[in-house]
Amino acid sequence: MRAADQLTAFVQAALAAGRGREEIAAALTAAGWSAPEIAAALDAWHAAPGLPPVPRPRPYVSAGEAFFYALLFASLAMTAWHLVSLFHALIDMWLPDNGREDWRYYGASSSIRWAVAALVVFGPLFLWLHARAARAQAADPGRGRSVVRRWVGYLALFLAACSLLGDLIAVVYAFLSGDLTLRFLLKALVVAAVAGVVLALFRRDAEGDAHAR
Amino acid sequence: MRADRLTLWLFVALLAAAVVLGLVASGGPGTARAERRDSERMMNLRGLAGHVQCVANAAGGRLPEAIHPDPACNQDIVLNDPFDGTPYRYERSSDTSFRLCAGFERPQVLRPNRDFEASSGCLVVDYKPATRTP
Repeated sequence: MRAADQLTAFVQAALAAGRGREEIAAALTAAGWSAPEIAAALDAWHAAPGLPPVPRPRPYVSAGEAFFYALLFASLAMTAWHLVSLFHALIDMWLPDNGREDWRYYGASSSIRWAVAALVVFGPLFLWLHARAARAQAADPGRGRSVVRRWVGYLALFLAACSLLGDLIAVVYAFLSGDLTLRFLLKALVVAAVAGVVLALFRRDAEGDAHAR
Repeated sequence: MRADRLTLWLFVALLAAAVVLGLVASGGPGTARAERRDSERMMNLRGLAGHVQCVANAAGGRLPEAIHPDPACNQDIVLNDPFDGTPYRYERSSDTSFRLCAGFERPQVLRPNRDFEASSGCLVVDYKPATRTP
């Protein structure tokens, strides 16, 4: 039996024997358990008068959800990446570098076509998966306890936050280097807008259910 | 919940705008086919430019008046546009330069080069006779 399981079993047995929460916490503290571990173990059980300790819902992992959320994450990543690359190619085409006007179209068409192809496939797929996840969540709030969902949500938030921070560094660096052109600013704005939308979309997924922590 | 819906609609709008603008900027399949035809035309002109220089070298540094297959230069050359059959245009501008032109459909999309005039669709080649080593 794992230590965490032993802890849970002990708390259950102590609550079933009619011991108070403070008394159990003091015993566990004396045994060397940390305060967050004790709080989590006590929080796993709900005391109802006349009943044995009632287990509270716990986070769960499911292979089906792992597949679903991995696909959702991949489709989001592909959509976000190609949105940025498409807008950057358009900006390069419409606002070429000074002295490099001849190069504004070279290679742009094929990179734009590739990005459009990726968006046509992954954009609707992401929207469909996202809507399906929202519907499932509304029908069964217990899905908020999915560990995979929270991990995917936090991963998306992490990458979006890194993109925003990297974007900010690039803007400050360009400003200090005297390269802060309209073209550069528009590109930075595209990255910020896409990262901001991802942050907003996944904030709720990462938060999950309060008891799932 | 209302904010989530708004974010989702913003994302959909961004996606739709990107696809529409991308299609407008890059053109449809017809435009892509035109660009591929132009690439082949350019490859043919480059082959012809090499052939003209080879013929000139074989003739002691004198540029030919017209392009034709030459036994001294055993090269595969394409004299006509393979898509509309129009002959490629060869113009001898001087003793040391010549132009090779084709009817490009989207010359602005081709890789910019110092020797290519996108406005006229011509390669402008400065010929330097090959120096013989003893």
